[in-house]
Amino acid sequence: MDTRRPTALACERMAPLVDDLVDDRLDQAAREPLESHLAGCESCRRMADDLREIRRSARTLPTHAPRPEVWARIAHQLAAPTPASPRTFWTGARVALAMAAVMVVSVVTSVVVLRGPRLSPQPTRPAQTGPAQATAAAVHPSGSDTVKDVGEYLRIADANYQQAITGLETIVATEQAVLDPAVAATLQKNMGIIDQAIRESRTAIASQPASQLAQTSLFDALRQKVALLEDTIALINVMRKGDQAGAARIIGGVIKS
Amino acid sequence: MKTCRFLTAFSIAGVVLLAGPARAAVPASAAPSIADQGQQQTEKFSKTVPLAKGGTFDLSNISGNIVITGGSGDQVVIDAVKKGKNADEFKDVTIEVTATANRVDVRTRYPEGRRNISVSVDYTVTVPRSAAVNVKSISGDEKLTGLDGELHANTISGSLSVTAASDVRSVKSISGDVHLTTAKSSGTLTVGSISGGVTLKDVKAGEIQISSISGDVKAEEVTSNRVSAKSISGEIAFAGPLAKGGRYELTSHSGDVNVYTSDKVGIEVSASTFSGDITSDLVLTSKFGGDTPAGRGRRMRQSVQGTFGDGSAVLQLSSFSGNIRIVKR
Repeated sequence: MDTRRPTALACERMAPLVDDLVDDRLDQAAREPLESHLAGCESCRRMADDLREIRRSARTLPTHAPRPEVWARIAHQLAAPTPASPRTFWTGARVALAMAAVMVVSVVTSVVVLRGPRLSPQPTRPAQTGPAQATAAAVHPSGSDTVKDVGEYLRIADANYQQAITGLETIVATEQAVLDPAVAATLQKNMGIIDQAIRESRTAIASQPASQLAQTSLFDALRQKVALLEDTIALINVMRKGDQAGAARIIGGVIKS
Repeated sequence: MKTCRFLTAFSIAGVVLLAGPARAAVPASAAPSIADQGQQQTEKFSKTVPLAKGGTFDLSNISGNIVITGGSGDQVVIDAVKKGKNADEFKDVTIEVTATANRVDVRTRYPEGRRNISVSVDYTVTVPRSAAVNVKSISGDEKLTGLDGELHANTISGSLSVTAASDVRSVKSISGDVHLTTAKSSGTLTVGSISGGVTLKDVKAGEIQISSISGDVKAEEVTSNRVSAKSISGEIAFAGPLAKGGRYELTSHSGDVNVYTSDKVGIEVSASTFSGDITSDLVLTSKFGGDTPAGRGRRMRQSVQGTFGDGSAVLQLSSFSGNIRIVKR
């Protein structure tokens, strides 16, 4: 007789409700039996805890939407006729992809928040050895595995931000000549300061992966880097309108005079 | 906290689109006077136009300082001085004033397709106190005083000073310092600089958002129910007063975060630092029971949650590598 089966069935029945419990969407009638089950089922309780942790971590990820003028710039690049000469590596499409990568942060966040990890609940049962346990471990991530998944989500978000930043930096590097050199230098200096903050935050996360402050600092700095790059591109964009390069040179001339 | 924004394409475009085709302008009411001071040429420009109560004054300049002062009348008085060394360049830079009953726009226009034009225009303007004012500049300082209407001021390279203004909404610079003194806002006040410092003194607003990347942020005698101040490498110093029910979020990555407050208002503190120190002159009661080990100048843990008094003002303080101090005044 399999004494675990009734508990496993209970887990199956209760698991879909855990998301709603964590999101505080259950009424009292649904909440009571679930909380009762969680009290006696370590696995489901761990899953609920993991979901709460993931939501907490996900909340540190900012939702980021590129500003319209930046999108306009990208659209302009996409619409521009292909020049005869070789294009730079970061074509409009690639930039769009880079920006889309930023949006992935939101998507990841949304997915994490809305769905949570697809874990199959494990019933509380005595420790067992042998192939059965090995199979279960392969299918059902342990608590620490799930926490590792949180770290993975953060790494994915970091990577997506970095990908977007790389794309934006390439645009800026290619076209910042339209900016007054003093302004460009100021912007570059401050981007370096943000880069330093990003490096320090990443180092801190490497040494203390659970540090919420390190996570918050990292994503704050990444968000500011994207914002500053977008602002810089917006500035480049308007400088280019009409004869904006000339306008920028005018300023350069004035500053030097 | 919202993402800090130092520029907006809208505001920049307002400045940079000066080189576009000239619009119909109100004929100049005063002929310019020209003086040749050796190589340097100067030209004075004066014009006065009416502006209805509640109207808008908009000034966009490329290079040169701007002084705008609120006056008691219902007229806009524009005095400008154009400066340059090259005669051809000099005459190609023009001042355009466009006026309707409710709006006065002033633009400095530079010729299209030309580079390295070393001509600047300094403006001294008096507007009706109640006028809404938008002022934008690429290079030059802006000094704005005695304005009661909604105020937006931007510059890319230059400092900004706003004094005695009743409805300041946004004041931003890329590389200059920003100072607000004796100012109010009926909405959300946004103040920022990328590399310059930001100083607020005697400022009242429902919500204040302050940001800088490498500059320091200093706020003294700032009355607001919601303050957000952020810097990456700059120090943040906030000297209230803290309001009951107020919320104050002060964050720096590598700079110190200092709060100066009296013991008359209760605070609920959430403070965290990764590698800095947290100290408090006020004895905080831990949210988890017992007093936090706080005493004058005494170091606490790297993360502190506690209350003092009734905890009616919420302080969220964080610095990744800087120190956090709560100092009793």
